[in-house]
Amino acid sequence: MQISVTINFKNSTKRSKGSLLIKESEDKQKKLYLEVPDDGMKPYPIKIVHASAPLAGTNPRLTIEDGNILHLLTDTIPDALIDHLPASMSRWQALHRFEQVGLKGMFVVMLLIVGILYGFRLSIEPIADFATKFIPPEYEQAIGKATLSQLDLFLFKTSTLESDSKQRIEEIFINLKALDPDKTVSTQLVFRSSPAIGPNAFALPGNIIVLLDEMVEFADDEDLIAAIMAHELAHVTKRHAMRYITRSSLLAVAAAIIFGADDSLIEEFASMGSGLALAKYSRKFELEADQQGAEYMQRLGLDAYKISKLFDMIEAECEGACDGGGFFTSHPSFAERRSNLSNLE
Amino acid sequence: MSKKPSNPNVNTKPKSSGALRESETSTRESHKNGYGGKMIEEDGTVKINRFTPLVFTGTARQLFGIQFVNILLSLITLGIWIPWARVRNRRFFYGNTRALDEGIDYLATGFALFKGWVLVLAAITIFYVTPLFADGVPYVQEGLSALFVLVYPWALTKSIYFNARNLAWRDVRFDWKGGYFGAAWYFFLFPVIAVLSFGLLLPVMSCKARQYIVNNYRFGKTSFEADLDIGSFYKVAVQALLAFIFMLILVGVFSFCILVMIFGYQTGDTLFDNLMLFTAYDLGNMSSYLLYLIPLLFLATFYATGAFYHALTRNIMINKLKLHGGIKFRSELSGTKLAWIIISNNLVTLLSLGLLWPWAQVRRYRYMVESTQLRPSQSIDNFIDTQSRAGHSIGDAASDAGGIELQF
Repeated sequence: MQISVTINFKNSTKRSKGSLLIKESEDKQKKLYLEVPDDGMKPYPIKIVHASAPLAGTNPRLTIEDGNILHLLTDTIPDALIDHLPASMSRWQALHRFEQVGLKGMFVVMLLIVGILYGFRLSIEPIADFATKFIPPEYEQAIGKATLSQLDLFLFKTSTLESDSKQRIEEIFINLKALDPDKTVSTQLVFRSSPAIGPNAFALPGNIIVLLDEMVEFADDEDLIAAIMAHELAHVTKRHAMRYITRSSLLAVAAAIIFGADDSLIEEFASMGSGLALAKYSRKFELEADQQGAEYMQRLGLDAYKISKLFDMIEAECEGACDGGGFFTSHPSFAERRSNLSNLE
Repeated sequence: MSKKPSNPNVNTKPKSSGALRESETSTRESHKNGYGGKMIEEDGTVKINRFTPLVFTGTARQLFGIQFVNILLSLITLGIWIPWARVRNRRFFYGNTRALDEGIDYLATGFALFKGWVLVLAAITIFYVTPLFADGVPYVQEGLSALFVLVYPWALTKSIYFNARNLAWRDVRFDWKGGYFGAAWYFFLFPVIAVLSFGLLLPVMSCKARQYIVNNYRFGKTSFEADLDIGSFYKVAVQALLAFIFMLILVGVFSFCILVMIFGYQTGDTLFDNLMLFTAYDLGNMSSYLLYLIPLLFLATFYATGAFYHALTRNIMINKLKLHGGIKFRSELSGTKLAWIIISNNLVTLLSLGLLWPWAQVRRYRYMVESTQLRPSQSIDNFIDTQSRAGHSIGDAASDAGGIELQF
């Protein structure tokens, strides 16, 4: 059996044509010979010490014992030659064949990839939530403080609420905390003002709840403010902020694994995709907090559905143009939040 | 671009002038018959004193298979396969790039890249974890940051060196002789100065940085040389700027039309509010989806300008490039064509949800390669390699982590 090759002489651009011969020697063993016609030499036995893995379109590169390099003229290594190559070559040959699957095979591979991706997607939530349990509270508080000081720098101003209304809100807050004392012991309520953001309240990591003056003015009803704080406190007791952070970091790692194989624009699509997933987590957390908040309200002897009054007010404010919802938004639509609340028993 | 992704059973013909070989080597036929597929026709003689284009023999179909398997294996191994995947990817592009009928061998192994990745990962971990344990020690984070900034030019130098040493043509490897201070100046300080000068020094920077890379490149023991003229870079920069302004006006007018079409009856503040909250706007109205088009159009303008500038400056560099011992180079990229290829590639990739990405990559790469020609003025059998080792791949991973990519 004869295989055409080119031979490159060690460390120079000089080259020549040649052929590899596989012949049976006297002891019935197949041996490898190299013939280089330009040399005028007889075929001489050689040993291949290294071979590059076969890859579509490229010429396999074989290093022989004396340091000269052979290149095959096809991209596939003939089966007869495999026995004379380093042992790992049969595995690379198998990979090379796998890469050449037809359209049907490609479809199967694609289904496999989609299946694995779906598996990843399903496992991100439980794995991240599990990991959150091991994050030390000091670390979480450090994140929370850093976030708050950043917000203070760029968006927040000091609160201008009168001290007696602050005091009343604090009282409600203490009553709320007493409902779940174990989980809320280190929770603190901070007052800020932010005309840029408008009426809003936040639960930051590290058990920090921020209530904006604009929200107090907008709600203008102590029970409603209680409902809002119950909602934010539910975010705290369910550790939503920290769970969100671990989920988003895990997603980032997964995206890097999936799309890191080649340097490309696909990374941007990946970040868009994880943005979608994160928005979905956030919406789910909102619904959870609505339900838990309603339960807190009920236990305080207040109206469990009070928070829906806020939805009505916001809707009235923007004349139906901001029903919320949508794939990229962090909060569910008001319709969804209402029906979620009415599912409570 | 006229070249469609080739059917694997059809030959990809190289450009007419460079009919060196017809090598569609990866037909399924050749696979079935072992080595019995179509042999590459040997030309033997290299044309002296004539420009011969480089040829790219890879097909989108082949890359599709390679990348699919790469993604699958990366997923199964939770990312450990990525360095090996990257090696196969690069080998595909280099190995199918035929210069004077010989492919370029990429010799790095997945394991070499893997070691670099582990080192960089360890460094990143140290960076983020140390401050958690060194509570109270002042300036830990700042000190580490400064350290990393100092180490970075070194890693980048190593990266270019590693990649050069792992490329071989006819068993002679490339080499790079640049040092720490050169890298620090041309790849870090100079770009900062260029930005601070409001971009006025940007052409000087791209000229000097390219010249620095090229003049330190070697093929074996032979050095490359390019004597670049700053004036021609400014000429190209002005062209690119004018093209950019022109496109910006077009896109601006078009976006304005879209806005008027959707929010026609509104003005001032309400228009601004609706833009900020546009997801909340009535999405039943199909035309509001056109809003998503506006940022994409602006992004496309930037991509197009970048491609235009890249193509023209590459032409300048390659046309001045010489390899001592008698090889000259020529590059005939068209700025508008490269811009079109890049824009349409991104669009096609986006619309196909990433599925046609391999096709887009091959299409762009083939255009770059086949617009490049080289002319040997004497026998090319006399280049000799040096005997230094390829070094380590830490730079490869580090420059990767920093998102810096150097290529010709």
